[in-house]
Amino acid sequence: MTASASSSHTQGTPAATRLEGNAPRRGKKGIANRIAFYWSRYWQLWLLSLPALIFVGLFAYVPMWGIQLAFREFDPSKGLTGGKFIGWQYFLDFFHNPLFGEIMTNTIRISLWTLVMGFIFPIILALLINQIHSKRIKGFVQTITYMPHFISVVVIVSMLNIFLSPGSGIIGRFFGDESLMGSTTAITAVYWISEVWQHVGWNSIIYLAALSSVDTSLYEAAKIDGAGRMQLIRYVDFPTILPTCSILLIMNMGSVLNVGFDKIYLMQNALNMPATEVISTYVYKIGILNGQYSYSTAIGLFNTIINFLFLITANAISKRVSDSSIF
Amino acid sequence: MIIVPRLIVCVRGLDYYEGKKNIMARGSVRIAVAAAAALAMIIPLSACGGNSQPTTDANGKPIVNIMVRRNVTDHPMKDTQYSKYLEAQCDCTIQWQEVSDNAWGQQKSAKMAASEFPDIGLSLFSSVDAAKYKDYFEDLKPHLNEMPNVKAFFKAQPDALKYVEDGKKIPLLPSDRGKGYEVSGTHMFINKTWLDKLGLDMPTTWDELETVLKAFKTQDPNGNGKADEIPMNIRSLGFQLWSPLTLMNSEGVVTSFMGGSASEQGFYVENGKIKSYYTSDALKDVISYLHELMAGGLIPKDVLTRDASQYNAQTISDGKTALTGVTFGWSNFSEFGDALGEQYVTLPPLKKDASTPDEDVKWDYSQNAARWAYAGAGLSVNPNAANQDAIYKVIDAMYSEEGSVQGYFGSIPDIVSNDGNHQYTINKDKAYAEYPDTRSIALQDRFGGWIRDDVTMVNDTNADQVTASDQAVRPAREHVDPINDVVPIYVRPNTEDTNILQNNNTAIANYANNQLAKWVQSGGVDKEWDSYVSKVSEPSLGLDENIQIWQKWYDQYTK
Amino acid sequence: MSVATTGTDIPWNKPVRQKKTVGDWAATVTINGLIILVVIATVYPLWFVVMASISNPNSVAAGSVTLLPKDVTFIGYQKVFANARIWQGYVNTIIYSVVGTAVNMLVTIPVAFALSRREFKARRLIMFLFTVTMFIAGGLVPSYILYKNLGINNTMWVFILPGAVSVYNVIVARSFFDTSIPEELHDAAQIDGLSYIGYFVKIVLPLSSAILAVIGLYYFVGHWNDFMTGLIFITDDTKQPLQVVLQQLLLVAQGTGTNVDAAAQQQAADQIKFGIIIVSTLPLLVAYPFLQKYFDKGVMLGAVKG
Repeated sequence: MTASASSSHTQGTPAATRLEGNAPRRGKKGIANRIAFYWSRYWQLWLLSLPALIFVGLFAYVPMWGIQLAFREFDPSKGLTGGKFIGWQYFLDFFHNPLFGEIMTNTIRISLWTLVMGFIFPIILALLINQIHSKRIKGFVQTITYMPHFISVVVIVSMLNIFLSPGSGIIGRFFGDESLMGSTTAITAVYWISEVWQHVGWNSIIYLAALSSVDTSLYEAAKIDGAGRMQLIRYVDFPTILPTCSILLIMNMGSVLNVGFDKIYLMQNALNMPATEVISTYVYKIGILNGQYSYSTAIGLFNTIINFLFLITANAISKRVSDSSIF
Repeated sequence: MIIVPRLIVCVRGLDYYEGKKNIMARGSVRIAVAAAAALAMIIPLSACGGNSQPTTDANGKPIVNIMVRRNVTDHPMKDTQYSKYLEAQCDCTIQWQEVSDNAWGQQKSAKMAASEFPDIGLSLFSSVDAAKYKDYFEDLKPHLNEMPNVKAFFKAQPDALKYVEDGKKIPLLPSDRGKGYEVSGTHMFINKTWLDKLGLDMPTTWDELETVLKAFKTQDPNGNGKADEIPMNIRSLGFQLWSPLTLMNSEGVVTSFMGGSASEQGFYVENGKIKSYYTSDALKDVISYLHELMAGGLIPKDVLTRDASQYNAQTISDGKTALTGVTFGWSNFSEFGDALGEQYVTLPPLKKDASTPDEDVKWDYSQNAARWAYAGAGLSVNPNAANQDAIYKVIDAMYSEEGSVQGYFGSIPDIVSNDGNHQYTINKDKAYAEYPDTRSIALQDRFGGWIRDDVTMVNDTNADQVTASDQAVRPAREHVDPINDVVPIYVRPNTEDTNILQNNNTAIANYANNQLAKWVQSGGVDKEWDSYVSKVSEPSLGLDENIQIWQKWYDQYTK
Repeated sequence: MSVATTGTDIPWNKPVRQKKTVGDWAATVTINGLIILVVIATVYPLWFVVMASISNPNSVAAGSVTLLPKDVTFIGYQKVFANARIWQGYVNTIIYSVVGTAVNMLVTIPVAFALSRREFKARRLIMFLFTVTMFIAGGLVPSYILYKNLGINNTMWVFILPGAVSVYNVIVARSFFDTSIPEELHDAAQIDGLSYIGYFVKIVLPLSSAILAVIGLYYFVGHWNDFMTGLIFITDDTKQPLQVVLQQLLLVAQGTGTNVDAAAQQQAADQIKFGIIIVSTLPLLVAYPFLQKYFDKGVMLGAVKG
C-alpha cells in the first residue's frame, strides 16, 4: 500500500523502504545530514512520544536501583543498598527451600487455568453480546456483566464461603458435608471460575471496542454469499478481534507466574494449603510478616524474570505466526 | 496547545460521508479530551519541596510530634483533653499524626528506609525493628531519671523491662493496661443454661465433655424444637488465640497463645528442655479427640474452611436462641454478645482423663502478654528529634497515673472522672456511645502508659467481664511454673535467628498444619503419626534447628 | 448517533437475508440460551450483594439470605454516611480520577499513535523498554524515596504522575491504531499535506472513539479503585480518596481483635462490608451505560471504500 506513494514532497512519508532507498544518495552529504533528514521526517513522532518517555524513565527506571537489594544483605543502618553483596545467595535459598516445588506447581497450575479461561471467556462473551439485536438488551447485558468487576476481593471470598457452605449454601448443598473450600482438588476450580465470573464482562470490553471497527460491508458480502450466522461470527467478527486477542494473549503470557495475592490469601485454610501456597503468598509471609526484604525481593525478581521470558517467547512466536507483536 | 478539529479534510479517493456523520456524533469525546487537557494545563505542577518542619510554634514553645497507629476516623487525638493535659505538663505543642493499621503495614518499610521516624512513635515499632534500625531508636536508659514515672514502672514490673531491654539498652518502652487484664487470652466456655436444663454436671474430663456434647446434640437444650444445636464450635487449628489446641494443657503441656510468644511458633518447655508441640503426644491426643468429636457430629464439618462471619453467626446467633454449646474465646460476653453471654460460663480446665493428677492440669499462660505485651510494639523516641527535653516530659506525663488512665480510657474530666483515692469512673454513655470499648475516644491499647495496680477503674466493662471469665482457670494456671513449663515472653532471639526461625516455621507449618487439619477432618492420626513425626523432623524443614535456637536463647535469658 | 447506526449495526435484520436455515435457528437458540445463562450467573451474586447489604449480617453468614433480605436493617449505610469524611473522600476521588485520567490520556494516546507507525524505527526499542517496566519495578522503598525527593508525597500528584503511563494501555491502544485504522487513510492524508500531528488529530482521533472510551475507562476505574497510593503516600486525612476512607471505617469497626467484643466487632464490620461496595461503585455503574454507545459498530463504515 505504500509502494504507490508518489508523494515525496509531503511530510511524514511512511514508506520505510524509501527512506533506506534514499539514504545512499544522501549519504554523501554525511551523517549530520542524515540525522537532519531523519529528524525532519520524524520529529513529530518523537514529540508525541516524549511525555511518555519522560514519565516511564522517571517513575519506572529511576527506582530500579532498588533491585540490587535482591543481591545484598539488607542492612538498614547502611542504607538501602549498603548491605553486603552476596550475589545469588537468596535465589539459591529459594530454590533449595523445601516448599519450592510445591509453590511453583501451585502457582503454575492456578495461574494457567485462570489465564487460559480468563482469556477465552471474554472473547466468547464479546462475540455473544455482539450478536444481540436490541440495543436495550445489549446495553443491559453489557452493564450486568461489567458490574462484578467492582466487588472487592474480601466480599468475593466471603460470598464464596457462604455459597459453598455445606448444607446451607446455594452451591455447597450439592457437594456433601465438607466445603469445597477445603478441598485441594476443587480449590483451583473455585479460584478460576470465580475469577472468570468476576472479570469476564470487564475483560470483554476491549473486544467489544475492537468489534466496533468491523467493516459492516463484509456482512453484506458474506450474506450474499449465503453465510449463516455462525459463519458470520467465524469469518467476519472473529478475524476482526484476532489482532487484539493475540496482543492480549502475549501480555497474559507475561503473567504466567502471577496469582493475585489478596484473593488466594483470603481463600487459604489449613486444609487446602498444599494447593494454595503460591509465590505471592509465600513472599508475603516471608517479606512482609517476617520483614526479610532482601529475600522477598529476590523471589519477586525471580518471578518477574520467568514472566518476562514467557512474554518474550510468546511475542517471538506470535511475530512469526501472525503479524501481531508487542515489540 | 490542543487543536479541536472541526472539519474533516476531504481526501481524494476516499468516501468520508459515513465516517463524517459518525465523527460529528463523537464530538463529545473530543471536547472531553480537550477540556481535560486544558484542566491539566491550568492546574500548576506544584512541587512543594521543603521537608524541614519548624521545631517551635508561634509562641516559641517546642513542638513534639507523636505518631500513633490508630484506626479511628472521626475523633482525632489533637482535639482531646488528654492532648491538652500532656501539653500542659511538657509546656510544649504536640502535633499528632494518626495512621491506620492497614496504612502502617504498607508504609512501615518505606518510612524506615527513608529515615522518617516521628519524635515519639506509639505502637509503631517492635523489638525486631529497633534491633535492625539501631540508629533511629534512642536508648532510653540514660533518660530514666528524666522520667520518674517510667522508672517507677520498671521497678514495679521488672518483667516488662526484660521484655524491651536489648543488652544494656532500652530502645522501646512497654505499656501496662493493668491488673484488670492479667488474664489468659483464651478461655473455654460452656452453656450453663443448657447444662442446667438437661440436669447435667459440669464436665471435668474429656470423656465427660463428650457425653455432655452428645446430650446437647440430641436433647434440644435450646428448646426450639429443632436439632440446630452445635455442641462444640472451634475457629481454627493453630497455635494462636482461641485455639482448641489449648486442650493440650489438660495433660500438662502448657500453651501461651498470645503476644508473639515461642508458644505461638509451636515451642514449649519440659524440665528445662525446649520441645515442639508438633511432635508431642499431647498434640496427637488433642487431634485425635477433636476428630472423634467431629466424626460424632459434635463439631460441624466445615469449621476448618469457613470464615469468621460464619462462625459468629453460630455464636451470637440471633441474640435470642443460643446455638452453640462449647467454644473458645476471650470473655463470655465478647464471644456470645450481650444477650446470650449470660448463658455461658468458663469451663474449668479439663483433665485428659480421671487418672490425670490435679497438678498436671494447667492452662494457657498468656496473662503477661494480655497485660503488657499484647501489641508487640512499644513507645519509641527518635534520637534526631529536635526537642529532646520536651519529649521526655511528654513521656513522663503519659506514664503518670492520670496520664495513663486518660491515654487508655479517655480524657479527664470529659469521659473519665477522677474520684480520688486512685479510683476513676468511666462515663459509660460517653465512652461507649459508638463502640463497646474506648477505641474511638482514647488511644486504648495503642497508648503509652502504666495503669498501676492500686488504680481502680469503675465501668471498665471489658476488664470486668474478662476477669470474671478468668476466675475459673486461675487455679489451673497456678500449676504452671513460669520458667520451667513455658518459654517466658521476654525471651527474644536476635534478628538473624529470628529470620531462620521464621523461614523454617513457614515450611513446617505449611506441612504440619495441613496434616493436623486433615486428621481432624478425616481421621487417621493413629496410623500416620509416626511417619508424620519422621517427616516433620527432617532436617530440611529445620525443626531441630529451631529447637536449638530457642534452647540457646531460653538458656541465655533464664540462667 | 442513532441516525448513524440504525441502518448499519444490525446487519442481520437487513432484507438481504432470504431464509433462515436450520443451522441459523440452532445458532440463534444457542446464542440466546448462553446469554440468558450468563445474565443469570451474573445477576444473582450482584443481587446477593444488595440484599446482604441491608440484611442482618448473621443471617447473611448463616446462609439464610438467598433471594430476599432478612431482618432488614440500614445500619451499615447509616454508619457509612454518618462519617463526615465520606463526602470529602468522594470529592477527592473525583478530582484525582478526572485530572488523573486527563493526564493519562494526554500522555498515552499520542505515544500509542507514534508507536503504531511502522516507519518509526525507534518503536521496537521504545516498546521493549516500556514492556520491561511491566515486569521489573524497583519496589516500594526506592519509589517512596523518589517521590519524597520530588516533593509529591502527601499531595494529589502522587495519584497522578507516577501512574501517568500504563504500558498495558499503551500497547492496547497502539494495537488498535495498528490494526483498525486503514493505512490508506495515512497515504491520503500525506497527499493532502498533513503532518503526523495533523493526521493524528484530524483523522485518527475522530475514528478512534471506541478505543479512547476503553482506555479512558480503564484509567478512570484504575484511579477510582486506587487504594494503595492513598494508603502509602498520603498522611493527611483530608486528602484521602474514598476507598481509603471506606476501608478505615471497616478497620475501626473490626477493632483490635484481642480486645473486647470480638463477636460484635465482626458483626459491625460485616454490616459495613457489603454496603461500602455499593456506595463506592454506584457512580461507576451509573456512568457505564453512557460509555457503551462508543462501542457500537459501524465507526469505520464507509471510511474505506477505496
